[in-house]
Amino acid sequence: MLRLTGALLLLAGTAGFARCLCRERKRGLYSLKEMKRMYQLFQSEIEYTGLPLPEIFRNVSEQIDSPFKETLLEICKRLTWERGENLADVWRGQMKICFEALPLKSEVRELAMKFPECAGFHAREGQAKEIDRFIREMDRWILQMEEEEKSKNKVIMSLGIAAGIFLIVILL
Amino acid sequence: MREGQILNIFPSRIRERFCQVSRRMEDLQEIRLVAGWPVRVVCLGEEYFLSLSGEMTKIIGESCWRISPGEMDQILNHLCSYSRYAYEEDIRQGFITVPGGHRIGIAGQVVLSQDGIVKNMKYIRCMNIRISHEIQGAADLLMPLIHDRERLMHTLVIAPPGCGKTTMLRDLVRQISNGSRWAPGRQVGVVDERSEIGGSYLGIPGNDLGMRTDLLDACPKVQGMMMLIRSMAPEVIAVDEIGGEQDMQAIRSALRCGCRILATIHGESMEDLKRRGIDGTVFERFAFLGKKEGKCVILNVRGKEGRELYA
Repeated sequence: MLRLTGALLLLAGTAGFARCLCRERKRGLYSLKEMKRMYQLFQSEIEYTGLPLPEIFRNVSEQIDSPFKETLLEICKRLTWERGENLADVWRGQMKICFEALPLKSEVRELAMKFPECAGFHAREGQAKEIDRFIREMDRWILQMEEEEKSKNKVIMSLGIAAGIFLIVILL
Repeated sequence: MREGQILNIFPSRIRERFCQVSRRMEDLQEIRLVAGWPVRVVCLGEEYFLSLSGEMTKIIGESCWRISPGEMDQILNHLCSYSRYAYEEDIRQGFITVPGGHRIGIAGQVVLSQDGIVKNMKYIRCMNIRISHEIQGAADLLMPLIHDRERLMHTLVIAPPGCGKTTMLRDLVRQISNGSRWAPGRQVGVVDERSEIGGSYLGIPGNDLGMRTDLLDACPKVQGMMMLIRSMAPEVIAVDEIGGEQDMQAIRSALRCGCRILATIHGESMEDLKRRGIDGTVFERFAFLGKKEGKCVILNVRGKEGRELYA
């Protein structure tokens, strides 16, 4: 009876670990979707309100989830007239902190770091169009990650359970 | 606080160089930046050059700070909050107004539309930072001259650029709005096309315009005057730098609605005004401003027939 309980607990443990890995991947996908939504909101705010970026960051922070919400608010706070800080420095510094807790690929991080380089267009339409590039890239990564998720999640779960059975066999 | 306004015009990286300049805020008139040339500062009519360490000197030398195109871009980006698209209209018009009402004139390569209209400006390599001075009491001398037994006269303030027209108008608005020993407070409507009178930033005026003043910020004068009359029922309307015939037509419409008018215009003499079709038929008082020993003063005030009331 004790052995059976132990075996079941071991199996539940390895399956649970596999499930955690899958959930982490799902969180990564959700973060990508939130980032895409963030760029889309930037684009529509530029197109329709024409507000300066710091104000757009504040407005968008109200419509987006953590950790981007806090990151945008912090960027907005630091980009004040009085502080005179540089957009590129502030954006990169805050995004670096934001990405620490997110399971994202290095390409996604690198692209996000390039955002300040695209700010500087003289016309609204041009600036809004430039953000299209970021949205397209996010779309590509989301699609890729969704496909990976379907196949890889099954593999991870199967491997988790198989590892549990393997350990049971060895230990018994 | 006013010192801070000057420093805040510049990004933090180059702010230190303007510390000494900002300490002379009260005398400061202009800061002129041209890419590749020494930074010039005008204080009480005297021109100084800024050194790399931020000192003001009258001698051009090796130590002079020759501002680079990159530094000009940094300043422009900071002025536009890294959102040049949001300042498209201001850049097209050639100036950006910053908190405190300081106006930054810009010049570079103009981008024209297909029909030859100025669409935008790129490679901005010249800037003229004109310092706005809020001097409470600047209009003390003028107030009794533009009142006739509590009746405010339609008044035109005339001066060449940089002689204190806007400063005078701002203080007239404040005193008329709050009330003075010459007349009780009146409802004043200000159309601030270039955000210089109120010095508004994010909708909040940086200058004191009085308790009974409604401010229409960044609005063209012609439309703004009618909008104020329709919506805010002002007793007095104040506008800065009138010029074209359309402005005069809008002023005549405001007169027909029973409003008193306060306005400013570039000019030097009555003859100058007459050539532009401005005479005693609209305005009852003409206040001429000018400079004496580097300070802006009232040179003379005339009535509608041209009679001198103050000299």
